[in-house]
Amino acid sequence: MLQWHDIDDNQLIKLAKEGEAEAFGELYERHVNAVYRFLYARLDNSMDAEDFSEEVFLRAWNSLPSYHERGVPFLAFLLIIARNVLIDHYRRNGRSPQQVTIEDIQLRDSNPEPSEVTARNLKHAEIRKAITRLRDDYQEVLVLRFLNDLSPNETAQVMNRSTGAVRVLQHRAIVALRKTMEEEHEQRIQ
Amino acid sequence: MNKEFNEALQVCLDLIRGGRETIESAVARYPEFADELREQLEVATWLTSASSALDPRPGFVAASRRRLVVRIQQENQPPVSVPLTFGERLQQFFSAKQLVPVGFVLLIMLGLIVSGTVVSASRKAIPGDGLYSVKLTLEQIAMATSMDEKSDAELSIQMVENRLTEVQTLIVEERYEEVAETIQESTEQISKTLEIIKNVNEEDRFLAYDLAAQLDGILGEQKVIISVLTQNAPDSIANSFVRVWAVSEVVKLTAENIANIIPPPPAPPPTAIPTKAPTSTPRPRPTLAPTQPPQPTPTKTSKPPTAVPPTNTPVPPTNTPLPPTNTPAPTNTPAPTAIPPTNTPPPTRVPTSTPITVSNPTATPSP
Repeated sequence: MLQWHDIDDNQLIKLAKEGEAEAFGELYERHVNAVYRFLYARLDNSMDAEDFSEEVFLRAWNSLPSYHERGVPFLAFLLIIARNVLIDHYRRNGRSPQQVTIEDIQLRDSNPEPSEVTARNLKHAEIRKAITRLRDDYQEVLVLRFLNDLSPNETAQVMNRSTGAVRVLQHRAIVALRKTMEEEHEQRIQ
Repeated sequence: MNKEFNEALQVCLDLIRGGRETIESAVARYPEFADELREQLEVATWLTSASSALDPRPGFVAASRRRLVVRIQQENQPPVSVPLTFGERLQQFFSAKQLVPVGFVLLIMLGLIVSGTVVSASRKAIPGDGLYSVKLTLEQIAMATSMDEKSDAELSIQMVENRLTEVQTLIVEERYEEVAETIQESTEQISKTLEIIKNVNEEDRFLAYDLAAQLDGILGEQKVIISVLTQNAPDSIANSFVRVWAVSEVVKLTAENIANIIPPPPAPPPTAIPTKAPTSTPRPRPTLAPTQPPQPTPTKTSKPPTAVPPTNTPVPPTNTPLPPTNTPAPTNTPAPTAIPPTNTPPPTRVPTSTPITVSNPTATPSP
């Protein structure tokens, strides 16, 4: 008997376009981690990331009829939507992603609830602390390339840039991140 | 940075991610970019190793998948992959958001139409009908919102007529079980109307008379109609009108009483050929009232003094010496006019400015 997980993305997308909600549920399960990771790397708490992940897939469901016209992989399609959801979120809250300062994170870290301080949260805070000092496009290329594991070509599709531009951007972003981390290390030593 | 470096970086990343090589072994493949590759790969692998910290909490995916599927099924909006027809494009154009105000207006219009229809239908309702309570409620609302006693009286008269018309319909439709109660209500309504008319009478007798006459007229008409209708009805129905007609007699008497105490209206003026009415009636000019009573004006009539004839009465002498008086003589005394001679002695001339002196008081003249 054919199971949902035996069907490839393209077939699932076709079924979902025909109104099969379960097919879209299977697509959700396959790609929600990448979407969540992309969002959580740019957000301060996991609750927002969960809410926005569901919103991304609801928007995707409603945009599914025009999906093929975009000519991008389904994950890139989802991440484009996630990017727009984040932009909307920042507009609603009156601050851009770059305005999330390192002080904000340090302030939150100063009063952690012991029960909530898990290794995962600390790592998340570490990543956030490292990348939030960077330009928005640097953050985005690093998250897509190394946290979402997208290829340069897929990253280029999500960011609506050429592959070459993404490679250059990635190189500069890594240099900037390394410099930021070294500065942070020096401050700790002093 | 050049294309070769980028390609070298990508190959190294793929090798490290695949778990086949470490950073050092990968960098060893490209000695010309070794230092720069190492720096980049260290940062990249740090980020990649941290990615697992960004995964959703356990259970979230399964739970949220079920939630999403249910929500999509509830919305029941399957995406359309086939080309849209003209009608579908129109439907898409008038999307749900655009139709919200239109739907709101339609809902209001529908409400008005339905309520209007209900109100209209309730006017014909009779006791026992579903809409009869609506009719009674509307009557009470109209009564509660009327502004003066005249309106109250007119509405009350209308309600009397309504009740009696309903009785007619009930008799015609042989729904006799509702008749008695409706007659009772009509009787009570007549009494209420009479009370209102009495209140109006205290303010305006003419209006009270009109209202009483109107009610009397309606009751008269209804009596004729109902009398005919009750001929074929059971005797109990005909008998139940006794009280109604008794009250209607009170109405008639009230109308007559009011008419009796109303003074007859003034007779209309004779219809003579109209003359041109004077536009300005001459009115006497007001005079100033005198503030002081009129006084006679002095006239310069010179009346000569009449001569006083001397008397022969002797004046007895007195021993009392009189002091000389300086009586001033009258000035401007007109001169005496000549009088024709009479038997009377001629008047003595009274010396002017000559004081009368009594030199010898003892020497009294002899008579």
